[in-house]
Amino acid sequence: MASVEKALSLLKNLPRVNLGNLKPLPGRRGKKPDRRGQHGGKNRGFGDGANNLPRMGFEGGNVPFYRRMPVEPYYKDHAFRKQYPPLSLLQLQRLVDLGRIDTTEPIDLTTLCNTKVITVNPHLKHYGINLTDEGADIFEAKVNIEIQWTNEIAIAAIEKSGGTITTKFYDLQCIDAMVNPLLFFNRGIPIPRCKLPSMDVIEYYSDAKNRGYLADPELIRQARIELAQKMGYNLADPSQDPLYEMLTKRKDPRQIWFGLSPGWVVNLKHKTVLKPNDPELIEYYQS
Amino acid sequence: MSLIKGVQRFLPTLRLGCCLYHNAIVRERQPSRIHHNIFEGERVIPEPPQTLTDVEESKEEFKYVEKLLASNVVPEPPKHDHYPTPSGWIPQTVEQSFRMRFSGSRWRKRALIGKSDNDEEDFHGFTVEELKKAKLGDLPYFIKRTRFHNLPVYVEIHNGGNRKMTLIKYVEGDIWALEGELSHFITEKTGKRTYTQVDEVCRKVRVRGDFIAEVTDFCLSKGL
Repeated sequence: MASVEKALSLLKNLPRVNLGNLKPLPGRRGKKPDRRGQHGGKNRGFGDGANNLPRMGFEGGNVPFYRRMPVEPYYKDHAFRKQYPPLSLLQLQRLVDLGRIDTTEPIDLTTLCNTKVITVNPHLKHYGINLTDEGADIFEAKVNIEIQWTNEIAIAAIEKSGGTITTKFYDLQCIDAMVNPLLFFNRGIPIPRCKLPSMDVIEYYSDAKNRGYLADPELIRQARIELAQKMGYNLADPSQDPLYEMLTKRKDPRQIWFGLSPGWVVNLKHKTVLKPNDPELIEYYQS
Repeated sequence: MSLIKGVQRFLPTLRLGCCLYHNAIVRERQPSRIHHNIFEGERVIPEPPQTLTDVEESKEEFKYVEKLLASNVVPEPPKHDHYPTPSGWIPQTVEQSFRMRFSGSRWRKRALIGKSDNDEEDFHGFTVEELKKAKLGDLPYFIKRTRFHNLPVYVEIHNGGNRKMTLIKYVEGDIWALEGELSHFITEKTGKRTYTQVDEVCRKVRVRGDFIAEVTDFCLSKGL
């Protein structure tokens, strides 16, 4: 009995069968070698000798199917392209009408996502929202909006009604934080530092015509006047506006939320904000 | 012969033992096993340097965090100077009638059956006497708006687009009166005969065909 227990305890500690230690059984015979005669000699099966089939896709001399059409690279790198889910000016006006967006505060991606009418998913390469020009004729709200993609008519509609618009780039980590801030703060990680735009979009965000956040403010002022003349409307003087301070509020290029700096950690339980004092961290997160 | 048989019996055990012995010598010590030396008083891996840095704790900036958190409730729409609003929204002008609101509710039932001991008990701001005297409103029916303050009117598409139905949800009160007036309205406007379905249990009315514009006009003209 003791020997049986010994053997069992041995078995417990022995190495298991795996791919690394598999080998053929002793005395196993290998494959029968091919004969040298016609069709590989006599005494063979159906598939053994007649294996000389043409290659896959060969159509007996015709140009094969896979070479008949030229390459159509429409969808090349489609999985890596930046996506911008659309939001129309009509939808934005409806949200303002129903009191679901507060126009006395600047509107950004978090404000729009908090209304739950638009879904931005960073896992689907959504780099923000595209403000489309549908409903440009009826748009009346005076807003300070920050958007990731837009066009000339939408810019004109917003500036005609006395508002301001900025296009700003956010990397996917920042988008992930901005679409659901509660989820992000519960993770207890520092607020990310916004990256600079990638090479394919840096031109867009540096252009004053797109009201890019990296463009010169003086050039943006000129572009506003140019667009007003082109579209034929009177541009109101923003400095006379009582909401001037709100309308000209802009984020730092590295900042993702107003009032909060990158590198800070939010403690929702104790309702506090933790700011790093380490000079190395401060240097890393500074703009 | 018996000796050979005895040896054969123990041969597997012997071989297994040799195998184990062989493994014990050859196997390298894994990194996870190094930690056992801690108990012997010897630390093989040095302790990592302290990386935690000092932080400043502040309560003033939390007001910016509170602004970012989404509300779980759809707010009541603000009052505008004139309607329709720029985006074309019109509010519901008809108040849900008193009796209709409490017709199916347990508050009214309790009041009518007289289960309540105290007659001055408050049911949603109404006394029992008020509930008993409750009268019907001007319209015998009512359509409740959705929680986003829109009309609950939809187009259903069936059979790959060959069959379209206009659906009205959240109908309260006399659903047959609504069906009669609605089909009359559509027929007058379009000159077509209408075919309607009334779902009394789920309080829905369906009209065959895409009449979403006509149904919307009807609801807005009635102030629903």
